[in-house]
Amino acid sequence: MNIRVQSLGLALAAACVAGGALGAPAVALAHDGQSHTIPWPGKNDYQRSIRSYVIPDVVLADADGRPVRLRELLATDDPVMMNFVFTTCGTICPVMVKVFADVPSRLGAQSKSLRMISISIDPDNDTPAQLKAYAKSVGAGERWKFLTGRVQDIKALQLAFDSYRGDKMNHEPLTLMRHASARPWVRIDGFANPDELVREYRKAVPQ
Amino acid sequence: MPLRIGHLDVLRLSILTLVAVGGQLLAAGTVFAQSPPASDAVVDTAQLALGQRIYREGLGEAGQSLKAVGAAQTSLSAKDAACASCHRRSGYGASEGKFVIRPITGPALRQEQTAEVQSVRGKARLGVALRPPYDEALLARAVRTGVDSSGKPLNAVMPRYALGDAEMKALSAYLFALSAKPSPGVDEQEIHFATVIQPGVAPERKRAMLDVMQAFVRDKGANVRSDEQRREAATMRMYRSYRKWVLHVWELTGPSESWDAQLQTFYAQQPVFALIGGLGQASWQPIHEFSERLEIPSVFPQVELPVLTGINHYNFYFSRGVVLEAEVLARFLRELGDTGRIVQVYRREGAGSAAAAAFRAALTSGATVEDQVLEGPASEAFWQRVYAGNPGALLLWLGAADLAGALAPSGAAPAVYLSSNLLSGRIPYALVKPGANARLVYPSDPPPKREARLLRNKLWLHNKGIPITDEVIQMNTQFTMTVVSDVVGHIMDSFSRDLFVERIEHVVGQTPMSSVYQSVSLGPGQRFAAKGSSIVQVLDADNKQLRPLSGWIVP
Repeated sequence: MNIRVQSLGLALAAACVAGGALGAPAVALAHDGQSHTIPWPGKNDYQRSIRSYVIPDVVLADADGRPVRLRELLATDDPVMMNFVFTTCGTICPVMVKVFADVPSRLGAQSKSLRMISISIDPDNDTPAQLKAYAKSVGAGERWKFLTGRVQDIKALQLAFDSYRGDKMNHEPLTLMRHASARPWVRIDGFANPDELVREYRKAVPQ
Repeated sequence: MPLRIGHLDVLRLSILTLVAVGGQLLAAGTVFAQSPPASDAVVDTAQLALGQRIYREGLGEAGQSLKAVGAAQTSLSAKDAACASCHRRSGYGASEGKFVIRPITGPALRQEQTAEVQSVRGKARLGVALRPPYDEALLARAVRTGVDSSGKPLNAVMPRYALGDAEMKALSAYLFALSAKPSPGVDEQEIHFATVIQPGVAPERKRAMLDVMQAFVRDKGANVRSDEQRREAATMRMYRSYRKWVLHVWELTGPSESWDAQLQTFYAQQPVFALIGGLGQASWQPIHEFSERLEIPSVFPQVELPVLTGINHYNFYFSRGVVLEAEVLARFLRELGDTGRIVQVYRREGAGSAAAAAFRAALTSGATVEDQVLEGPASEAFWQRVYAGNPGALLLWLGAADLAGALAPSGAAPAVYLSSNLLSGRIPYALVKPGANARLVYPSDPPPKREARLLRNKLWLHNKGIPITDEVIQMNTQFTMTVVSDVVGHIMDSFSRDLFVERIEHVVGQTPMSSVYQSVSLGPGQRFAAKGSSIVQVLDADNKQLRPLSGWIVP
């Protein structure tokens, strides 16, 4: 199944704010006595697909340097949302982590059971200490784990999730989510905005 | 503050002038030197400074964080909103995955792109987008609303910015001048580099580095001799920009406080595009600061004390030196479990004490660490004191000269850990007597892997008639020269120091020539290529072998 979804322009999304369901961020930004409203002529687009993956049996490390066996972490009945990032990435990752950061508040009470995982694809540079500082800088909460590991394990992991592109600089925006360990993954390739991601999440994880 | 700039001489003079603008120090000369405005243009330095702050730091007129809306309708601010975080300092752009971040240098913005470009050479120059040139109004529209100069929406990853009019004007002024002219140190015929050597470096170590560099530069010179003519032959047509490499050796003398003035004098005599290689045992701080201030890239000096904290846009190092070793060792010992009492020995001056301090800070476990400071020559009595009470682990943050007699104590033989950095990369087999338990923090891969990996380097040296006298310096210098050569090839005629830095971040991981380091990689803003090390057992003089005790440890 491969559905192409294109979001509406921001202007339209903003118009929906009145409706309540779609809370696009306020984009009327004012300072030095002037106000500029930023229209959104560009399109976000992403592709959604349903996939099953064999998770490699690797032991990663969390931001406190504690070992985390990924299979055990993912063997949960809680819903999971996962992405691949690295801390010195300037273009794609800031957007992906911003979207992640926005998700829990938009999910409201439903976010209580959600586990979020960001796995570094630059393990040589992203030490647990580096991840800890990064997690703090993006305001990551208790249930959002940042993981790193050995170079070969991180590569194996990306291969397993069909996200390895040869070099960290070639990586592409990707979000994976799953209702529970027995279910397949919903794979989101591309940039979904927080509302779109929440919508996809509610589809994947019905209340 | 309007400043009239006419001639190149004025530019060179102004390079060393620091102008304070709005409470911030702006290396004004550097801005103009890297992107001088058209002849006789009136430059408003305060406006350019604001433009630079918006561009590089994402901070607006009142020092406030810029607000922007990025892809997936995320609100971005400060560093994430700074133009340079995607378009990079140079303005030449970048690519991440399928996202191409277009060049926004002055020339690129002014350029009209009229035809779909098919040829690889044309693409290299122009890119592929079709659009009219930007003027100030079109640029403002693009920045604020995300519509390009042809009226088409820009890609969603380009944020939309809420900029005030003064800010927009400043950003325009900055962008239209950005990377518009070559950085200093390059002319139509030559590209100049310098290598900096601190006082006190042994002549044979200097020779080891310079022989490799000079052989490399000679080869370059021989190759570019007739390339301009060769271009006329269809089979030799390559889009490249040939410059003769000129290498200057800047040998510093006297106390470190005087080095900055010496560097300025060298630079005034002949500006260089970049500093390459370099040697020294003392802190690299004065050279690092010189390079940051004048925005001159410095590529992989081989130093014991690199600068680890503070601003670093232009200084690439192989590793964090002894501090990395100390952290790797702390991690290794922590995972080893209870080692008992740890004793570390160092001299108060130089890298040893930096290592000891870093080890103490990194060892978060409850182990007892005791320091023994070596002063004067190491006597037998000193070593007896160190070994007294049979410590569980002994860390000797010392050079080879201090190790005589240290590794063959009578009686007890605790695990003794040594630093590759402080031993200048030489493996101290001769010092290890049978029965000693000597271990080394080791940045390379264990033999025979290391030998296989370095074979290519050694063949090159052999072909150039250079004997191997200092393997570490020679291999690392070859690596540095190859990286610089790759990057100069990549940047073609875009002689921007910032672009040079950005390309180094990219090519280091893929360079075919090896350094002694087992694994090197960089990324945007990363300045230390080798991020880990391993621990090996050093067998004695009769066996001359290393046995791995750990994998690659990234602390």
